[in-house]
Amino acid sequence: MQQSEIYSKLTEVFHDVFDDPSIVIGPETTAADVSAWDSLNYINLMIAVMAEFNIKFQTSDLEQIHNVGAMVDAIEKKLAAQGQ
Amino acid sequence: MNKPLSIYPKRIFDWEAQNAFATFSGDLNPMHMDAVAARRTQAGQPVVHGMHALLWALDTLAQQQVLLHPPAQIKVRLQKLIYVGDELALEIMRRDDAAIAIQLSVQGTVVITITISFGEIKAAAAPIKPCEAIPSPFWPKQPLELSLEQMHSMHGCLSFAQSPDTAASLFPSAVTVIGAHRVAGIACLSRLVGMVCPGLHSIYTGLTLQSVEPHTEQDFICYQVTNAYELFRKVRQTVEGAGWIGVVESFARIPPVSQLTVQEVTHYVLPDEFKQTSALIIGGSRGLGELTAKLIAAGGGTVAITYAVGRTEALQIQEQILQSGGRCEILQYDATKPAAEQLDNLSITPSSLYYFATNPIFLRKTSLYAPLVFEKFYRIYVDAFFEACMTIKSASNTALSAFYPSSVAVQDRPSDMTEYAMAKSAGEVLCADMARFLKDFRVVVERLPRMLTDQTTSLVPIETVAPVDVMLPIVRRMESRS
Repeated sequence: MQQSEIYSKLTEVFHDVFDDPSIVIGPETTAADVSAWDSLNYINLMIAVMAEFNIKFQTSDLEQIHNVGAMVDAIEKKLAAQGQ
Repeated sequence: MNKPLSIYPKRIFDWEAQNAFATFSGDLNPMHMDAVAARRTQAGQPVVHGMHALLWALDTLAQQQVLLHPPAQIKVRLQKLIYVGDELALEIMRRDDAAIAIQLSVQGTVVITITISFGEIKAAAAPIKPCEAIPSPFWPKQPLELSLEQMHSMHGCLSFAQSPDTAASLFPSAVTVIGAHRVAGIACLSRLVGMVCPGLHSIYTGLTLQSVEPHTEQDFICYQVTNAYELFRKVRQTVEGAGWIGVVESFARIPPVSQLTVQEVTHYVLPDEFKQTSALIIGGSRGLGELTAKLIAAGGGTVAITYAVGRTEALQIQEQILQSGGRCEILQYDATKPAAEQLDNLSITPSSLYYFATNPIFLRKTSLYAPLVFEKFYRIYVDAFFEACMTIKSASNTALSAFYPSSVAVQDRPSDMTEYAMAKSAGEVLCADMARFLKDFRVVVERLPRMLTDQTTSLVPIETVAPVDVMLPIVRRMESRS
């Protein structure tokens, strides 16, 4: 899956989890840029991401995800490992 | 920040209210009712039932004639904990014919958001008939302690703890508008999460309920777990009954962290390697203090451990150490109070002090920097440490080694830990000058990594280091006296 497609799907996930269709995400987007992004919504976000892309993260994966760019990279790696 | 449309009289959720709701709902989870048990949870102290806050909000809105009809849907998000004694404020943020958006806050921090939507109430569903798949209503007297695997298959029916008629005395206006059964049903959802599933180690995070016409002859709700996510320990379950159909969301908290037993610790230390040690361990009744006490005792040393409120835990540790042939006394010690009078009863003359006194580290805050929060940390991590050291030194002529546990948070500084990092940093400076200017005094300061203790468990999983791998080298450095 191309990164552009990942970003497209991820944007929909953000819109749904944060209930805000105006959110625009980019590689540098962090929790500080999204007002409703707290620890609870972070968990909801990661659950929704795993469901959307049919992947599973481990604790060690989460430690590496500090912004949306890192999240997209992590998704890409998981998909590649599945042969997608 | 959006300004509220309306603000209503606040409410203090005191122990009288807490006990009344616990009795009505049947949710007696220790996180709500037991200060000693609650201190070993992420909350650090007893918390108000989220459903109590929700019902108070509905009652207030009904009383103020804002809520005039049963809602078609209620969506609730429990964002932060409410502590017993907190004063809760209710603000309407948005209101139109279709919905009302509400915030409940404590000292300006939003703790719960509620969205009430209006519309058609669904017709009554068929009464729920107990059958093989749905066990008869039962009464949990103690919270269940379930594994995540067990939660996957949880389903059943849960009775109201009291007759719905009791609701009128607690939430009279809400009963008038939405009915006693619906009020009792919401209270029963607190019992579901706190006593059944996830049960003992639970934290409520949200729910979405649609109204249906209630079957008032049925005093129970039915539930079924649909998801139990391993990574985040998040549990989702559907519920039905008492005029509601919906989804309840919660987390299965990580249970209080157990440290290695004395028996297990003997595999790490030589039998006599600490035989010259006489150690006072402030905060030795749990966590790193408990582990340190066991390491020293297993290595032949004498220990005195202190507890603030956890006397039962301190006695258990003492018993373990004594049964293994070690020496251990226990002492009640509150680091917020003067050291001298508390250490008067100490029978040992400490050669080492291990200082693990602490406040709850992760607190609810309203701003980047909170002076009162800093003051509390400073009292424990700076003033009380100095007092303890000077009290011990003045009571004897022997040399003293002290361990001061600082934290990697001083340099890494996660969000919401500014005051904690400041206080620990000040403690480091104090230690450096104590070592420079005090005679016969040595201090070991270590910025400890994040380890799994009661203080550091979180909903978001993080990698941690095994406490024994961190503490044993420190204890050896402390006791080498070179």
